Amino acid sequence: MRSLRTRLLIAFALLSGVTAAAVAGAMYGQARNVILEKAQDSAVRQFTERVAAMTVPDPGALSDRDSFGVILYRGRPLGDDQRVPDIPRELRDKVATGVVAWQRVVHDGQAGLVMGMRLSDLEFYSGRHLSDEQDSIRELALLAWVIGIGSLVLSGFLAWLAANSVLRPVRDLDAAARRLGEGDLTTRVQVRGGDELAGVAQTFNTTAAALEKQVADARRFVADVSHELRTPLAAMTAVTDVLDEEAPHLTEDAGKAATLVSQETRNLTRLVNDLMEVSRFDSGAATLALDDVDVAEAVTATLRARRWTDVVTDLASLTARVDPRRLDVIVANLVGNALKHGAAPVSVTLRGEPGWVIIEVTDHGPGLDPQVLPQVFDRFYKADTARTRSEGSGLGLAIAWENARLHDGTLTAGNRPDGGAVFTLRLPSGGSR
Amino acid sequence: MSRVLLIEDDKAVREGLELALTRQGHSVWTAETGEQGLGRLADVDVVVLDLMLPGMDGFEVCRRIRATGTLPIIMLTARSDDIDVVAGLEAGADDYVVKPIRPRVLEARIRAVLRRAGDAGSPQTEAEQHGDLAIDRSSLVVRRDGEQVSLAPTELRLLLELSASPGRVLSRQQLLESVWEHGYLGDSRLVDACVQRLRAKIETDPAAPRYIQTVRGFGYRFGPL
Amino acid sequence: MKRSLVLVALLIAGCGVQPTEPIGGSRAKGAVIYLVQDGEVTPVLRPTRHESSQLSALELLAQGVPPGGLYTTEVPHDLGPKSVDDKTVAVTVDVTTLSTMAVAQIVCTAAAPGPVTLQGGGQTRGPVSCPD
Repeated sequence: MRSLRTRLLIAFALLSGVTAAAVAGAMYGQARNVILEKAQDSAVRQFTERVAAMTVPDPGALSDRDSFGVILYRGRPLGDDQRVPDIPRELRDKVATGVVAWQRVVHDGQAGLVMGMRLSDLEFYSGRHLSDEQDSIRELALLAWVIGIGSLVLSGFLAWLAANSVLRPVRDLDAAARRLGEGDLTTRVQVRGGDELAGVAQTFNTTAAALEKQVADARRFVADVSHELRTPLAAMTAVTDVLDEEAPHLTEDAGKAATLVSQETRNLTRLVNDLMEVSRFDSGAATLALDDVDVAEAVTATLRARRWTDVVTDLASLTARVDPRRLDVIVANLVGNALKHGAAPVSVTLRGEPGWVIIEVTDHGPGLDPQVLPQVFDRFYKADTARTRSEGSGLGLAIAWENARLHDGTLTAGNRPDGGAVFTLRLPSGGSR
Repeated sequence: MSRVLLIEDDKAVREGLELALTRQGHSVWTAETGEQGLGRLADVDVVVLDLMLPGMDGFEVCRRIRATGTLPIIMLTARSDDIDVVAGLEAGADDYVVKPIRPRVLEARIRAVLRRAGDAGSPQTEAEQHGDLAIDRSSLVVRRDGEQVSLAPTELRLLLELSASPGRVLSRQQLLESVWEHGYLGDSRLVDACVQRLRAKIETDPAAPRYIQTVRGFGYRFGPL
Repeated sequence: MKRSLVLVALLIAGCGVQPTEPIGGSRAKGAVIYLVQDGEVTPVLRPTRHESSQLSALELLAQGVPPGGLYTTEVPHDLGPKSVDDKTVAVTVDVTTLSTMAVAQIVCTAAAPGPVTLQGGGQTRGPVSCPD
């Protein structure tokens, strides 16, 4: 399929080409005819005047520098030269009817005019070359071509400009729609002029603004709810330790209840904390606090702090400019996820590539269903649909992914050839670009 | 144990934390507002301060406490929004925790700031002299040109840590672990904010520091002078 | 596509000067009469305002020539041509009175394709051809 631009250009080029050809061609043709007719008319007039002025039939009187004359008396030439010149048969026939006749002939690219008339037994013929006229006409033709091609080029350029002026808004709209589709809801297009395209652009902007507002409202609602939940949770969390300590001393039922409340308060706290974290990413409030971090040490510290002692590590000694808190969050979420959903042993490897640090977290479980791979980083995505509630908040991997992206890095999920899921984190070692 | 002043406007949070800290053996005083809290500073070892308070906000309370003394301050913030944390640290807080906080964690932080204030350095008979700065590790007194410098416990601990090995670069994470006792990777802004406050007190020109020098890409270094 | 090719071919072919068919203009004017020079009949051109016929050429011939010129004529002024066709020339004057030279002048000026019989004054003469 041809693009709109190609079609516009072709249409313009055709239109202007036909116009240029018609105008240049018509003018050329007209000018050519005028030149030729003028030359012919004057030659014919001169010829008849010379014949009229003649008393004795004298071919010499019909000749001059530019022309030659022949007089046939009863079909034979008068004068010393008895050769019958090459006079077109049809012209002689025409002359025989008693009119003054002329004919344009072309020999070897040289144009000439042959005129003739008959009086009684005498036929008068005169020929002259048309090379001056031919030169003029050739120049005229050249000029017509130059003008034609020039106007074609010019119109092509104008068509290109026009196509651009039409297509730029279209292209802008296309790019904007794509950006909007990719999630950049702040995308707007510039509205130029008041034509139909401007109307489309206006509609696009209105729609994008409405969409942005809806999403922002939804996100703000989540952030507000999370925030409102924090204060009561803070109070509840403050006493969970008390509940834990007192539970063994209570009656069995009360103890169970206390432990349950304590445990669920902690789970709820985690969920709310993760929701707040996600809200910060959504609102763009999340920022990097970069520091030069010994990555191997940082990973070890993360594992040590969570008391994940049975994780196998293979860590190269590397320093990278990253946000240590966010690195901790990523590694903790990946390892935590592997421990929960995969099978032991879980291993963490760290290696470097020029400009990048790569951390891989692998487990020896059944691996991830290839069908769910694209969704593992979705919020609240649960690979095991039978489980109604995950042990984590359901946001851990999403948060890890957002943190990787904030670093201008990537986090991808896949399967090892011999089974087991592998999560690969790539972070720029020189800090975010 | 220690005497804790808890300034928190939300009744449930206040009572919950009071209960938990009391059970851990602390003597807890509580205040609902900043003004109330400022009136109860006498005989307190550490202040746990909510940032979002009605009336005088936590930042102002923090500044006022810092203006008069070196009492350790731990901020309680409902929002870990970056700007709040930075503003609190700049106002002079020694550490911060984000609500909801488990009493055990808060307890650990309280112990850390108190230890900072109490037992830094080894017994030494004489004060070390670094340029115009005299650091007495036994009496925990720092003098500049013979005049005593009033340092918050974190600031003092940071100065002692850095000056213990002049010329050696310590990374922010190392400092977080040794000074703040953050078990795992912490917020390096704690270090940066504390260095800023410390420089303001001991450097002649904080913009061109002599004592606490930044080693770009690595961390901080004491000297060389 | 085909049509545009033809158009382009026409455009290119239309350039320059093209040969034409013979084009006819006004009728040729002028008449040819035969006068005597050095004892021979010879064609001489006479301008006319209109297209001339053989009859009007004979009338021109009868008008004679101004004296003292190169040419002389033996055709009498009262020739009185009446009609001309391919075989006969009718005049008023008695054709037997005409000299041989005058007959040649008349026959040649009449420009018939073949020999011509002269009629006049109740007499006939010929058929006579125009000498080469």
